[in-house]
Amino acid sequence: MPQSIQHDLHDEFARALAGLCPLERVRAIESSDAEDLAASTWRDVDALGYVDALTPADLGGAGLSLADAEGLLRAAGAAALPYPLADTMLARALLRIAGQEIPAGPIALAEALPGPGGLRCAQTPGAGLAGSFLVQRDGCLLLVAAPDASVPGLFRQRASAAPGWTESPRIIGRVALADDAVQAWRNAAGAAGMAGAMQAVLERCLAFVGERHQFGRALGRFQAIQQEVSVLAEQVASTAMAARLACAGGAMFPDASLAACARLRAGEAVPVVCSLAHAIHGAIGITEELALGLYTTRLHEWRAAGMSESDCAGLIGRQLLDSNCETALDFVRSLMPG
Amino acid sequence: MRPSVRAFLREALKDMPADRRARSWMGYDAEFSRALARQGWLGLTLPAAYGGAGRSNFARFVLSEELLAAGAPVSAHWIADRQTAPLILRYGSQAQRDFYLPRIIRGEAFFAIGMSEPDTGSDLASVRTRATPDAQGWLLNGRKIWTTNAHRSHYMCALVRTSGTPEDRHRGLSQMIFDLSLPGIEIRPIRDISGDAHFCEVLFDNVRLPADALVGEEGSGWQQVTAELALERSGPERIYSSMVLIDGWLQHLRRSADPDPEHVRLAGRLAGRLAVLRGMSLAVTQRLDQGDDASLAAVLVKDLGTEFEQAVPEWIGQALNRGTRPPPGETLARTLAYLTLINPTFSLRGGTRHILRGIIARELGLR
Repeated sequence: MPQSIQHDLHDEFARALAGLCPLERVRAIESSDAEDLAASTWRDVDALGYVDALTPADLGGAGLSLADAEGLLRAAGAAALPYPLADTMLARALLRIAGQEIPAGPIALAEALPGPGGLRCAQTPGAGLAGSFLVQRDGCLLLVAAPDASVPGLFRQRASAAPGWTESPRIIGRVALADDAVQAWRNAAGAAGMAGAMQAVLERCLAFVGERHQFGRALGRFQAIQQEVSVLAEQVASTAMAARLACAGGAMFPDASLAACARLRAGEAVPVVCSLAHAIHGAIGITEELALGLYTTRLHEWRAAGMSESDCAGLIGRQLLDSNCETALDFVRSLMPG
Repeated sequence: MRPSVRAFLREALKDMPADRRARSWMGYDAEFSRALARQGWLGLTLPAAYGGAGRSNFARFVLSEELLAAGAPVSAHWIADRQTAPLILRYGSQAQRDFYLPRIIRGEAFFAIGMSEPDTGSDLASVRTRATPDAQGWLLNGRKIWTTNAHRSHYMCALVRTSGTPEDRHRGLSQMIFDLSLPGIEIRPIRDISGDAHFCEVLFDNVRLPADALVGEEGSGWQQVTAELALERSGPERIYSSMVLIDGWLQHLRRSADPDPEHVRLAGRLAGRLAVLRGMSLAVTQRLDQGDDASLAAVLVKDLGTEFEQAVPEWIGQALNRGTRPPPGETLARTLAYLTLINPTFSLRGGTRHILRGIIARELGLR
C-alpha cells in the first residue's frame, strides 16, 4: 500500500528529526550566527539517507517517487527543519541522473531575476543555509556555489536570502529542465512542507487550549475557541489532501494543474491558519520564546516566495477552458489519479 | 457504471432547465426515482437478498456524484437510500428488513426523517415527541419540524422519547418507523423563501403505532441517530449543490473569445477547490469501504464542502455583475438567483455548521 509507505517514512523521519534537530536547535540555527551548528546538524540529518530519497536506486539513492517522498517533506515541515530539504532532494536526483558531481551541504533552488550584470535571484527559503544553488534560468538549472553576500531573508533573515552574485558566478553543473516542470515540482513539494507545518500549528494550538486556563476553565472548553480550532483543522486537512493529490502522480514531476491546486489551497490556508493560531494563543503567541512563531514565520515566507494564488488559479482556469471537458467535474476527474 | 449513468441522465434530464436542476437533491420527482430503481440504482450497496446490487461504496460514490453534478431530482428516494435503508439493515429486525428494504430498492417507499422539533431545533437530546408503550404498541404524541418531504413520503423514521423525561437527555430515546397515512398525523408543508415547499411540520395526535414500529432497541435511539447522521455526512452531496451553476457559468464563459483574466482565475479557483474536496470525499469513501471510522473526515469535508457550495453563487454573481459580454442568459440568471437565495440551507440540513464544528472539536479532544 503506497499510503502506508508514506506514513512509515513520515513517522521514521519525524522521530529522527525530533532527536537530531529539535525546535531549540532550529531556533539556534536560524537566529544566531551558528555556522558550525548548522553544518553539523545538516550532516547528521543527511546521514539518515532521506535526502537521497528521490535519487534513483542504481545511482545510490532510495529511488522513491514524489508520492512516497511526500511523507518526508511533510515531516520536515512539521519539524520546522531550517534547511531547503525538498530543493536538495530534487537537486541531488537531477544532478545524479545527469551524471554530475553532488556538492556537499544543502542546495537551494533559486529563481533568477532578469537584469544586467552578475546574477540576482528572488527571495529563496533556506538560501542562507545553502552551500550551493541550482539557479533556474530559461529552461536550465545552473549549479553555482553560494555567494559571499546576499540580501537577508524577509521573514527568516539568516536562514533565507535573496542570493546575488556581482560577477557572473562559475557554473559548476547544469541540468536542462523546463521552467513549467520546476514550477510544478515546487508547487507540489512546497505544499507538502506547508501541510506539515500547518499540522504542527494545529497540534500546538490543541496543546495550548488544553493547558491554558482562563475564567476558571481550559480555553478549549469555550465554544468560541472550539469553533476556531475546528476551522483551523479543516484548513490543515484540506491542505494535506491537496498536497497528497499533487504528489500522487507517481513520477518525479507532478501534473502542473494538480500542483497548482495544491499550491493554491496551501496559499489560501496560510493566512487563515496563522491568524487563527495567533488569535487562539493571544499575546504569548507572538513572542520569540514560543515555537508557534517558528511555524507561522515560515508559512508566510513559503507563501510569499512561490507562485501566487492568483497565478495558480489562472493556470488551472486556462487548463480548464482549453480542455474539452464539458463540466467542471469532468475536468477535475481528468486531473485526479485513479 | 459512469457511462451508463451518464447516458441515462442525458436522456432523462434533457428537457429540464438548469434552474430546475439547481434544486439538486432538493428536487422531487417520484417517477424519476422509480426510473432509477428500474435501472437497479437504488440500494446500490444493499445485499442482493433484498434486491440490492451489493456494490461497493465507491460505486455508490460514482452514482451519487453523477446524479448530483447533473442536478438530477433525487429528493424522493434520497433519504431512504442514503440513511434509512442502511439504518434498517444494521438495527432493524429481520421482519423490518424484509418489509422495508425491497420497497426502498424498488422506489416504492420514500422516507422522511423526524428529528428537529419546534422547541429543540438542533438539540436532539431534548426531543419531547413521545411514544408511550401500551398493550397494543405505542401511542405517539408531539410534533416534528423541518422534516423534508413529509408531505410526499410514505414513511417517517422519527427520533422520539420512549421513557424518562427531556432532562434524561440521551437516555430513553428510540427510533420509530411508521406509515405517514396513519390517523392522527397532520402534515403541514412550509414554503421556503424561493417559493418551494420541501420541508414540513408534522403533528402527532394520539397516533397508534404497532409494537414493531420500534427500530433497534428501546433506549438506543441516540446511538442509532448518531450512526445515521454519520451516513448523512459521508457522501459527496456537500460539494456538489452548486455544480449546475458552475457548469452553466463555464458554458457562458466559453462563449467569450477573449475571457476576462479575472474570470479565468475564478474558473481555476472553483476547479482547484473542487479537486481537493473531491479528494477528501473519496478518502471518506475509502475509509468506509475499509470499515474504518470516518466520522472526523466526514465532518471536515461536510463543513468545508458547504462553505464552498455557498461561496459559489457569491463568486459567480460577482463575476456576472462585472458587466460581462455577452450578458448571461435568463436560465443562468435564474439558476444564480435560486442558489443565492437557498444556499444558507446548505449548512443547515443534517446538522448546522456550528454543530459540525462542535463535533470536530470533540473529535479533536476539546470536549
